[in-house]
Amino acid sequence: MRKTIIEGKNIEEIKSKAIEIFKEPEEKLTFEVKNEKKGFLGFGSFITVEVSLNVNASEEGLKFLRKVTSEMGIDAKIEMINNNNEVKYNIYSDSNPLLIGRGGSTIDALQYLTRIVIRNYTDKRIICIVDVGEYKKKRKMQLEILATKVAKEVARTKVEIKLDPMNSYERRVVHAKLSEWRDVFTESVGQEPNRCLVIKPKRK
Amino acid sequence: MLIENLIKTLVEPLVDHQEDIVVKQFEKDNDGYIIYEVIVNKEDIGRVIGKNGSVIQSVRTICYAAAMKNKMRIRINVDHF
Repeated sequence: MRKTIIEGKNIEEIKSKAIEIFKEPEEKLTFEVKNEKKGFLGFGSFITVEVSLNVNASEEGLKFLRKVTSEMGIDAKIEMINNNNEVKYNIYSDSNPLLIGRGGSTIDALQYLTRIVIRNYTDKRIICIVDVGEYKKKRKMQLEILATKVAKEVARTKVEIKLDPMNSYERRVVHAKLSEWRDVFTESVGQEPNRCLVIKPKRK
Repeated sequence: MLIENLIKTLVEPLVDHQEDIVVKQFEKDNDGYIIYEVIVNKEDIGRVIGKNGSVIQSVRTICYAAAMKNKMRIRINVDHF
């Protein structure tokens, strides 16, 4: 979170200092007096003020994504969906494959950096999801179909099957899908980035 | 020119000393890669690299995608003063 403690003689001095530090107009800053020491006839008075930047973190994330896509030379439309502590950015553009990357790697990179930007502006834990052209939605459906298919096979043959390496989100989807199953259970093995999910039959 | 701006945009929100960011483009090396050297303040180097290099790897991934659009091959190095 962007906040600092500034000490000074009076509130005006602190305000001008704060504007210098944050490089933002005064309207965007909030001042909270922590400690006040009264002097005699204006001499020796001393106050400590906590100054914090008062901006909407999800808006900053949106601005960041807009800037990055335009710098990449991509004409993109970004839609922001705000829930209480979850924010989702849907990007629609003419060159989706470029923004998705191999196996969603560029999406993951964008999401990771956007998370850092949001974390800069707020103390709250905000879940941030970036999606390009509904790639993640489609991928989730594919994974669920794959999981069901492989799980059926495992249940029938009683032989465990290892899936291809996947990232944490994709593994989570498969774990969630198969958690209710009676005949199989799931486990992740290996180290990132080659961590993969194994579907095993339940022994009786 | 384009990639330099992109790198700057990506690195800017990560650091405290935004005025110290320098992105420099170098000539193609023998393998045909254009090399970009990113120089940041000494205090910010950890934030830019991230745990196990996760942050700089994300920056690279995005820049590679942008470079691919222009049929370029690039490399990005990070250093401090």
